[in-house]
Amino acid sequence: MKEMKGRYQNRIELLQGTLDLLILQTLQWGMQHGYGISVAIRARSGEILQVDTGSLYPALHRLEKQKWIASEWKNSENNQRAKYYRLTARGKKQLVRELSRWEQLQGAIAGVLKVE
Amino acid sequence: MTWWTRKRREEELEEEVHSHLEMAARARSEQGERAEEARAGALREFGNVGLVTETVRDAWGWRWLKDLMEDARYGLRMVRKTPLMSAIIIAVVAISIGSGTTMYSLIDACLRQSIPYPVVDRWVVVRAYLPEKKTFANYLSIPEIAEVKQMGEVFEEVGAIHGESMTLSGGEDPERLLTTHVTANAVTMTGVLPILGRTFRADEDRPGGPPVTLLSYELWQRRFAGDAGILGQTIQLNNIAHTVIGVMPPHFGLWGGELWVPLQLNWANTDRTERNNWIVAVLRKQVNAPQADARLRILSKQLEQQYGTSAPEYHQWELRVWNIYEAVIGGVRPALVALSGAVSLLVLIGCANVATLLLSRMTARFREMTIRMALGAGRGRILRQMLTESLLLAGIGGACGVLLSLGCLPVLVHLIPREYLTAPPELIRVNGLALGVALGLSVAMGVFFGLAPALQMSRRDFAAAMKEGGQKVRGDRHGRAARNFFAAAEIALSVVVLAGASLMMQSYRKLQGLDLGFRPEQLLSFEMALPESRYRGDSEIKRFYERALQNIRALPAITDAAAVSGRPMVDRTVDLTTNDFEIEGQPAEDARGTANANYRVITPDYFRTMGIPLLRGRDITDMDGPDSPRVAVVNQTMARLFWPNDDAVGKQIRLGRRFGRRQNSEVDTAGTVMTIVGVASDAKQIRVIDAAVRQEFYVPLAQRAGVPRGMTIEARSRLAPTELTAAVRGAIRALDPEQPIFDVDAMDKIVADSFGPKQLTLCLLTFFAVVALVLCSVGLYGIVSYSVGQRTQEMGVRMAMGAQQADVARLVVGQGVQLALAGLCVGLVAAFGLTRLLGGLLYGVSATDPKTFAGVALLLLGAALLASYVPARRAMRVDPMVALRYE
Repeated sequence: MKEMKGRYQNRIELLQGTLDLLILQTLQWGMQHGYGISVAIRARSGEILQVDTGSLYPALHRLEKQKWIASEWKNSENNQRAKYYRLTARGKKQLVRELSRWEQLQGAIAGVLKVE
Repeated sequence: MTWWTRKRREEELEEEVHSHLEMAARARSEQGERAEEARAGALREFGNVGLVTETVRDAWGWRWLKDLMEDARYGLRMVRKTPLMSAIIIAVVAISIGSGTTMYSLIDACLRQSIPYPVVDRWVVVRAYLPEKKTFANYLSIPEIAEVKQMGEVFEEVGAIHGESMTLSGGEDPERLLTTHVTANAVTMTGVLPILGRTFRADEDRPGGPPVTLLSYELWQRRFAGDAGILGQTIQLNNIAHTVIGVMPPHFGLWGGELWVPLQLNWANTDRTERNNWIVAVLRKQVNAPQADARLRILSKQLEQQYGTSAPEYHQWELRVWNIYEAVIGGVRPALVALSGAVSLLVLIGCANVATLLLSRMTARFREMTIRMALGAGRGRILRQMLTESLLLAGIGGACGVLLSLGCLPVLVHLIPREYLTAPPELIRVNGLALGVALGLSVAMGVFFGLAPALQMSRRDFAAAMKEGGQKVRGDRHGRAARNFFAAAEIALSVVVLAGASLMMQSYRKLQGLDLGFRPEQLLSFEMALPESRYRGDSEIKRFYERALQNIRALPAITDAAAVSGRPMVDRTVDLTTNDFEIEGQPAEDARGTANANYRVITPDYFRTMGIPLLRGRDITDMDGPDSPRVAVVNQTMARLFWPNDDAVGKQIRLGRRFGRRQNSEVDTAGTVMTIVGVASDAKQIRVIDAAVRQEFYVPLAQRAGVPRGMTIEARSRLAPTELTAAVRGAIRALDPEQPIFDVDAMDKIVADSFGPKQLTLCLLTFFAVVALVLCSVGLYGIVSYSVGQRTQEMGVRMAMGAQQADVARLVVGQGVQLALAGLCVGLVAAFGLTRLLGGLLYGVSATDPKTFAGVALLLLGAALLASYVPARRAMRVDPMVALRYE
């Protein structure tokens, strides 16, 4: 179990920047609850990216703590009470930063790969 | 983050997960799955709910707090689950921390608070070392004081001082007060300022200067109710009006005085034999004691060359500085050092004890820990939990110890008679530093002994341990070695404490059994001092004492009464009044150097009153009047020293120079020839009971010129002496209503008081010894009974295989005895080295007395046997069937 937990943490480590980016990007289209976010990411990635709840929820709580997203309790379309997250002003700025960083990284990796 | 918001967040997190699962399940059922299937699928997809929430909590960033609370709660539960063990650990920590803090505070206060002056580090007494007599002379003459005063490059200030009693009369009953006569600078050099008025001016410290006085705060409060109007008023001291010029702050206590008067030294006096004052001085900042001694040695040599022919006592003499701490509390210091040593050992024993107990406790829970680890508890988490637990125990123990010390110190201070405390009782408080160290120590104990087993455990392959079946903790070799080490260490330390205490006990018993040379029972003793204003000269003084003794003898219960110039057994460590003499018909200086002896002035019947047996010749009687031939009685030591092969009775001595304080006139007794008429048995005169009696002679008051104004009257009674106080007071009042008597006491109480500090040290040491014995027994019991618990199955197997109860008992007790023997060996060696440090405190017993050591070893061995016998009984009662099924 300890090892399992370690695995989760490792994945968060690996995906951290990326997962944060994906969450922020997803929330750009409107407020969403945790389940909705995981469904959205999976759908938009063409079922390739399976977001682990063990990574998703800690990430959500961490982003909230950094005040990039905010949360409120609302009823869903199916009248299910759920915790909805939305992007804050600071979160929007962070998204811009993350996106540019992602592009840089992409460019850099592409450059490296080309030389290979 | 408050408890409340945290709780709400926990609930929210739970609800968030719940809603996630609901939505996922709904999505699945919308795709056609059956309700339970959908729910199970959602849960599977979500993963480990507990772990996810745990990771989320990690993200909150205050998980440690929650863990801590949990650990503490769990720890408390464990503490409650094993109440006896926990209580023992807490009690041991409390006792060692409590007694350590208490004693350290007491000792520190006695050492540090005794002299509350700013200059205390540089404040010294200058005294003379006399190599021939192997003693120090504290009292010096006026020209000698003046010569030291010249050494401005060594001393900032040089003053003179001596203590003397004075009678305060007027208003209430006349009262005898300890008065310190000081040069004006002796007060100012302390750096302490008066709280009212001023100190002495130079013009008041001259012969014929105005009679002025400085009051102590305590006297001012007691006698004058703290009235500030006292300044400028006069009080009657020895029937002379003295003007009060100031009041010193509380605890000033310079030379034990209740008040101070100017010494008014006549610097023109060149008599080097009249040595009446101590020299007190403040060293210059850049001068240390050895440098000062070196300079003083030069001065001593000069004086020896200059005056050596006329003053033989200058032969090889050496002036030296004496640190004031040494001077004031030097005598108490060895006892204090011994006590603090014992306390430190006690604290160490406590630590070792807690170590063994905690180690046993933690190791006993090995299985529990293994299970927790298997269930996914991180190593750090387990470590933290054990740490919290042992910290909790140590913390509670430490807190109890602090409370114990806060409660005990005032009681202890109250129990100790005031005169044995060198510091004012109200200044003896629980020492902050000691408290800090004690608490730090208990925390350190908690950390160390919480971590040790946990680290040891995580080093081990716990899966293997699980397979082994939990109770097989044979792999616990490190743990066992550590426990055995601490238990043996405890016993070793206890040997040292017990050996020290029993050596002290024996020397105390030897001292108490010592023959004082007189019978202190049913002897009333009190002092008087006749003021110059009403008793001008020898004849008035002699007549007064004669009539006073007549009145006292006339009292119904009194059988004998006599007066003596020096009270036996009072607070004096050296006899000060000595006289040089020559034996008639022998050269003045033979191989022994100048003959010198103590002397006392007595009235007839002194020996009978005191119960000092006369060995030869006769007592001094009424017939030895001023007109009859001069006579003296010598003590046995003097007779043996100077007439070793001859009868001292009938021999004559010629008096030489007189030393010590002179209470009365300048009359010189030198040249008087006296015939020895009797030899009295040796009698202890000074408070250092174990010191050998010095040669001494007694002369009749009636024949003495320049008699002392202060005498002690001893009265032997048929009743309890203190019942006679009022009657004796009445007898004196009938003679002179204004004449106070003071220091009225039963002689056996005075003798008992002289044992006081030793008795106190002994009581405390005995207490420590008992605590040490209890602690190490408890420690040993803990170890053995723990191991019995661990080996229940083994015992069962042994008994099933035919071992008898006695065999099992032998096995268990053997373990305890082995530990005890190991500890005893180390302890005896350590004690052998350490008790030597007690040397100065012991009397009549060697610091390495084999009998004592053997006794201590036997006692500890007995305790070890007992401590292992109790668990052994438990082992004997093990039912083999139960033990085997125990798996």
